[in-house]
Amino acid sequence: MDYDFSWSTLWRALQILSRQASVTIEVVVISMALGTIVGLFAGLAKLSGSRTLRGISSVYVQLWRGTPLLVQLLWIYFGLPLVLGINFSPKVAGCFGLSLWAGAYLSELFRGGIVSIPLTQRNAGYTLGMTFTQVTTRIVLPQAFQRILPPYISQLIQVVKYSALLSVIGVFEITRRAETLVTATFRPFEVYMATAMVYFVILFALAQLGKYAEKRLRVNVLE
Amino acid sequence: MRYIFHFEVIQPHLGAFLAAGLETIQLAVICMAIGTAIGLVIGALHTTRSRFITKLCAIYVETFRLTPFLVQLLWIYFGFPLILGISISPVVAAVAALSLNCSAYAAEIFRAGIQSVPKTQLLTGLSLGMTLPKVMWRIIVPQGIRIVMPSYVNLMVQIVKDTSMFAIIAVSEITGFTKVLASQTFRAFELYTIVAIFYFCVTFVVGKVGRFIEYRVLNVHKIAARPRD
Repeated sequence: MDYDFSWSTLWRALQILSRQASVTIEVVVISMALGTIVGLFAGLAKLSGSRTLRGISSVYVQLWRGTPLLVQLLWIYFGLPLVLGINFSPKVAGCFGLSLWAGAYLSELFRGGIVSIPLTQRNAGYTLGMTFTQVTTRIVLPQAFQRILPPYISQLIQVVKYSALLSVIGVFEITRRAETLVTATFRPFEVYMATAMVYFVILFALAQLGKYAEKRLRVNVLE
Repeated sequence: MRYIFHFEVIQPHLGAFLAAGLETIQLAVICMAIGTAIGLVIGALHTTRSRFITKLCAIYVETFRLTPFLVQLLWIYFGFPLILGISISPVVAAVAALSLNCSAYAAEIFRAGIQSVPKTQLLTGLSLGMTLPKVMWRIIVPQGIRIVMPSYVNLMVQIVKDTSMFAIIAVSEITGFTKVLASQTFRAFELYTIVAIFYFCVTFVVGKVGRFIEYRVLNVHKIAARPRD
């Protein structure tokens, strides 16, 4: 163990990578927003009366949850342009892939959240003369959202972690920047350590937020 | 859409493709085994009374759970050979990284399992004169395992999917193999579709095996009505 650990490289890498975190955050926010919309519709579709909608939704969820994100990204970035004849930029392909991936997991969450609201509440809404849309958006969803907030934050953490895979298709987020730093400095140990530290700080904050949400949920809703 | 699909592009390479698939399954199984073993130890240590040990376990678990697996993989593969002064083959680095990653998640699952069994049961066992290992093996584990089984199966599915990232450090498991083949044949869409189907089949089977163990071997439904306190 006569390795001379370069503190200056670690420090420089930390500075550069924490600036690059803005790209990771941007990608995560876009993907999570789109993923939430996709997941919400897929979750509602799974609960609808139409067999076709239910079928489509479960095929989507099963396929996307059963295959690795890396394969999905490679498929979207390298495969789809050949078939469709259009080119995606890495960022667009990355956000697209990450959104669909997150949507599949989130749909199960939303479904669980909606199912957890007692049917009596729905019926009470109908007897008051509310329409299906009104009951869903005014009664069921607000309560469901509150209940699924802790696992929603877990999913957010998952999306931040797996956004590192976007480096493979060339999105210039934290991990991709780290790779270029390694080739410039020849110090992979320090640089990847700094990378892990940057992710850790972001995710630790989110994990604390998740714990807080869980505590509040327990106090306000479940008891 | 004038694209003509050529799924038969895989045909001359089918043997190698399946061999790479087998490699994926092998690597996943090895990582599961090592990860579970380490996870059991860490998870059990996490439930001990020593605050020092539980803190250490928490740091271990959180470090691996709050950083991306890809970064862990790159760190171990590119960073550690320099520190240790030895070269590590991609396969060894990949297995080490995924096993450690798996162990952190497994530790958390096992800790939850052990702690989900009411403490009174442990005390009852001890007061009946059973030794601690015996109480663990006969009373805590049989109940805990039924509670953690679904999360454990989820983790195993996750491990299978995470082996795809080995391709990034040039392990020729199925994703790595397909990447090379795709760049040779320019049939990325067909090849990645096939590889996605492969992963889907494997994770599907893992999920089904998990269900089978849960309901047929452990008879979960029989104790589902067990009162909780």
